[in-house]
Amino acid sequence: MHEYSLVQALLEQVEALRRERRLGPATAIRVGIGALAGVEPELFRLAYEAACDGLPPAAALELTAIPLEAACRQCGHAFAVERFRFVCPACASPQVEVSRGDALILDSVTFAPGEEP
Amino acid sequence: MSEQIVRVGRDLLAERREAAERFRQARAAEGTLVVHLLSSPGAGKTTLLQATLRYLHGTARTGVLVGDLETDRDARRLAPLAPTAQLTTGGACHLELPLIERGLAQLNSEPFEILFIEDVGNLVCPASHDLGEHLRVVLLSTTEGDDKPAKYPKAFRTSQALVLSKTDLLPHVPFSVEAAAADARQVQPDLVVFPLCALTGEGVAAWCAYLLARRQELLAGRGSR
Repeated sequence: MHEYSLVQALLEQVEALRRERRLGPATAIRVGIGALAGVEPELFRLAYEAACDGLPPAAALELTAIPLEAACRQCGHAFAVERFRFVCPACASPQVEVSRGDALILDSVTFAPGEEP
Repeated sequence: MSEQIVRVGRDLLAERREAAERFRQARAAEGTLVVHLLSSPGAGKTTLLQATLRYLHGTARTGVLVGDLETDRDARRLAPLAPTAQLTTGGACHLELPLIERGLAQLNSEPFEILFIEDVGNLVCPASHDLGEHLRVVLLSTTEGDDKPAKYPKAFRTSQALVLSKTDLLPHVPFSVEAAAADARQVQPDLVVFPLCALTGEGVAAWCAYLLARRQELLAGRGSR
């Protein structure tokens, strides 16, 4: 259960964006969870709710799954990785590079307007 | 003024990864090879370290940072063999870089040649956290079943070496070294595999030779994750 620690990183970054741009509170946060990110979406949401408990109205958290994709270093074939088998389906080479789906991505944040000058 | 959508599209752990990269480069500059050990609880990380520290005694200056939820039992086992700092996570399931930096400062030593980090016993969370290591090693014991790599792909995918521990039990358990290695290489084809028994010492020499070779590569400026 390291999701709590990841939620802390998320909240820090949202707060940094808000300050940087002098905006109002965040109203929606969109996060993409890669299949190989090592993050369980339900636990991430629970950790987020726990972290926001007692704070001003929390931003809506939207989670989307990012599929795992890779490219073959031998033949260049791009493919979806099934069941974590990192083998090129075209040429059977195991030398493949993950191109997408191994990270936890902060996609975008919606902020309420900041205070008028 | 209306709502504003700020597009980010950035890895949430990017900042932490950059900090880990700085730590990695700083240790490399000092000639310290940082080795991060991860496994499920009871796979034999501490026993492997005991055998490793004994074997390397007089050959390489070693230090250990050992993570545990509550006790200092692992640290007490290792402290007679090398400078050891206990990192108590207070229930957290994995180590993070700030704990590593604090532990290293606590040891207050001239640079080690090899610094071992024993993570909390857990094959899930530690896999997502870069501790600034040059070498990530996953342990799998023969009592765990040879199908673990596919169940915990991230731990195996992000490691460079696999230690198959407790080989003395092979006659008694339905575990195939070949099947486990093959399964793991489906997830990470470049894994270097070391079957060994830390209690009898079988395989320890090859494992230690690998560590020393990796340190030489680091010194030559070629070693990195």
